[in-house]
Amino acid sequence: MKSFLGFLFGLFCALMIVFIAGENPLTILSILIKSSFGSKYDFGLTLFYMTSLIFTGLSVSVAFKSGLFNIGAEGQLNFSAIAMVSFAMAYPQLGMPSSLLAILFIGVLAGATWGALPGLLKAYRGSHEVIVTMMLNFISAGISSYLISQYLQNPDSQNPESAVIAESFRTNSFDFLNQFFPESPVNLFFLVSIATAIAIHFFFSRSAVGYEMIAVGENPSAAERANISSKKFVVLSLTLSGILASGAAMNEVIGYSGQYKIGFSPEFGFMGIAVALMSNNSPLGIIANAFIMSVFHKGASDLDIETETITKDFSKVIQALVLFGVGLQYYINKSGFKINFPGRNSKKKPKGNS
Amino acid sequence: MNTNIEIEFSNVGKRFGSLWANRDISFSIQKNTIHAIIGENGAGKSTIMKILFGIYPADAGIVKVGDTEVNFQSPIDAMKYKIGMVHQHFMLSPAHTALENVLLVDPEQKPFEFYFKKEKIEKIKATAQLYKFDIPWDTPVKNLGVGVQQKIEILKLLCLDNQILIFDEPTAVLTPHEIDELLNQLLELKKQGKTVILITHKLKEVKRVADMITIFRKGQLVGSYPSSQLDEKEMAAKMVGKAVSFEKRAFERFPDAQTVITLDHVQFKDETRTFNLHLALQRGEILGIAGIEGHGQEKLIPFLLNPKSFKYSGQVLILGRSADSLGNRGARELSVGVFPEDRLRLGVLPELKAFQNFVLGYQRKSHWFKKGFIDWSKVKTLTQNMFDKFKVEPNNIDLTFQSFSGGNQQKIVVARELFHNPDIIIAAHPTRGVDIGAIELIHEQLIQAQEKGKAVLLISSELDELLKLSDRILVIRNGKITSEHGRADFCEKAIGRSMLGVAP
Repeated sequence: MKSFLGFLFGLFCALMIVFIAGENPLTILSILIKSSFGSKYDFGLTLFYMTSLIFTGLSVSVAFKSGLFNIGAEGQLNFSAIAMVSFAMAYPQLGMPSSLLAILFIGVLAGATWGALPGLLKAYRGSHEVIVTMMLNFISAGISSYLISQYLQNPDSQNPESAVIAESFRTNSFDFLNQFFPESPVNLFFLVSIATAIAIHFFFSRSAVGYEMIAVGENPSAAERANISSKKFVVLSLTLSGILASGAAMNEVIGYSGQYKIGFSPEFGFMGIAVALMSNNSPLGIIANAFIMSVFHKGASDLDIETETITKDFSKVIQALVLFGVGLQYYINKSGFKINFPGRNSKKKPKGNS
Repeated sequence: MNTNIEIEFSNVGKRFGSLWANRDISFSIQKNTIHAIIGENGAGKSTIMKILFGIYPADAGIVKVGDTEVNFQSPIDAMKYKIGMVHQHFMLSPAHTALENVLLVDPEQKPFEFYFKKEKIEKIKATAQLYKFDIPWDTPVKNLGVGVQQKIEILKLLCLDNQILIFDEPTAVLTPHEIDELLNQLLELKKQGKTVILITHKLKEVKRVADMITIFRKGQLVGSYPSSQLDEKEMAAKMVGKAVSFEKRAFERFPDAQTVITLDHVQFKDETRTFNLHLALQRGEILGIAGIEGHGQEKLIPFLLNPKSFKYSGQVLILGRSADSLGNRGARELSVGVFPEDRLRLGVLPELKAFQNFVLGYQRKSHWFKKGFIDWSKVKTLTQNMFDKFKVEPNNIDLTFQSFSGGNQQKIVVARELFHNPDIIIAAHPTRGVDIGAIELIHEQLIQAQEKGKAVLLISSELDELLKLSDRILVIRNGKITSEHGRADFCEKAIGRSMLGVAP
């Protein structure tokens, strides 16, 4: 854990803020821990968040690997979710297992489309992927609001959400993981997300395509010389990004609720950026950091209830500080900064645990 | 004797992190001499001069200028002692004229004072005349050649009445003719009473102008010698720490010379100019391409690698195949190895590890590629073999590429490109920024390839290198081949003139 000290530093700063706000940091810490691990239900919820964060973290990091900044994971997962729900609503009579395969395909396809668009625009029109992915976030939010309000609104609910899709499109009936965590939303996609992270790890460390993708990110001109078309890989990596983001949508729609709720994602796409950065784009690191982030995310919602001064937004504050701490540590490691311990001037001992 | 000493270093040291770039350096520089400082890249010769010029503070030892002990914290301190430095990369404002550039460096200029003071201009012109500088005063610097730009740099220092002038690799960017002129100017400066310090690794020039020679090796001082005592071979041996061969290679022609690259009246365009190329490269031949930097000789590389990506007329044949019949990967499908013209930008992934760089461009070769996956343990073994064969230092394939020195970086690139035993080697500036030991190794590799009947296209801005290795030299000027020189009648002057476009 190269970034563990940075993480502790960020956490420390966050607790200091809590202290200034007039709460006891130790109480806060214990609420955080209890909230995330206190019961099977709580822990299941934490893992549910973690699943989505692994997917979005991977999504962002794959783009990072080839030198692109995908801030559109939010839009990609959103579009994928609305596409899946619309599909399931349109063909409710489909039976297992084709129904499940079809909805997975639609989800992947929608995510891929939403990722490929900025990729194509970047490669062939020179549009900056940050601007395009950001705009696509708004567009997909607009599309889903329109579809929900005009066609898919659940008549039994006053919330802006779709009706629940047919059982044949969902995994609940055979979800063995969920049975360990009664009532909680964690589902099979948790295992899928871990497997995906491992697969991505091998994709980058072993496969030639992964190597070429990294080469494009590292040095596009040299890649071009080595006959690796950077245009092709810009499209490919953003498409892959979109596909990975769609995993977060499946976690919600297929694995858990079976419906599209506006605002179902508490900005998983953006939290994915933090996860990817904290992990320095290592797919296995993403598993660990997604876990940390989900603990904070889960804990912060209970802080809102259990304390007077801390609100839900505190989750963002912790994220920011932890990210800052990890970034600081990365910078310190990179610059080879060393701390002299007093009284030992002759021999300098490097700080850090890298 | 002592009164004649201009600068004295005693036990000077400079440390970067845990590494000593200079250690226990003690030598002195006499007044009114040309003092050459030579050594390989990374030997610490530039560092010691940067200490003298105040760019780095010394970590140990004493520097004396005249009789006073000094401890410069910045170049401004050094300038007060009348020390000036001509940097390798010029510090001129391209949009201003030559005269304005010299006027710009007046420490007494006040913010709202008129710039073009008559007496100042007169003084500048008088100085130029004194040192026999011929400068087109009213031309913007961007339109002037490097040789003239360098003169302007020198003149800037002279107008500040500097007594000690440091030249950092001044001939690296010049043509043979301009080098000649510069060396004469250095002698002129000496005649006028200046002290000149010349940092270089070109031994021929040192031999010609220097009075004293100080040699550095691996951050340490080897010694100071009067230049009459050493010949080029001895200098090189002291720089490297072992004897270096300067023998030109033996030339034998291959009787059944088969042509591997044919450019038949090829014409194509890029953003800046039109190219007209007509040449043939044969097996067992090193064909040198000479030309002043920026005259389009480097464009040959992307063109040869993928002619289809250019709109061209004429015929291109590479290893017997017409360029049109090649696929999207262009000549890279064939057996072609390239030492890229700009190593870091075009040849490698600087932040990845050495062994990961070893497959770049060859990542789908059957040696390690199978069913979509790269067998990295095999790559590592092969990389390690090449590291041993090419004596790459440090011998650690897990280091990132950028942490190697220039010479070792180039060795890795050369090793990679030669690993697949290419029939054609396109070598662009194979020894740029590379130290003498590695230069020798790379040259040997090229000669060996030639002897095995491979064809080498050598593009270089070092005329000496071309003269040493080539069987033929083609001069490119402004995208066109202006002359061809066979080995039998190599003439440095004629080639130089052809590079400059001056009629013989």
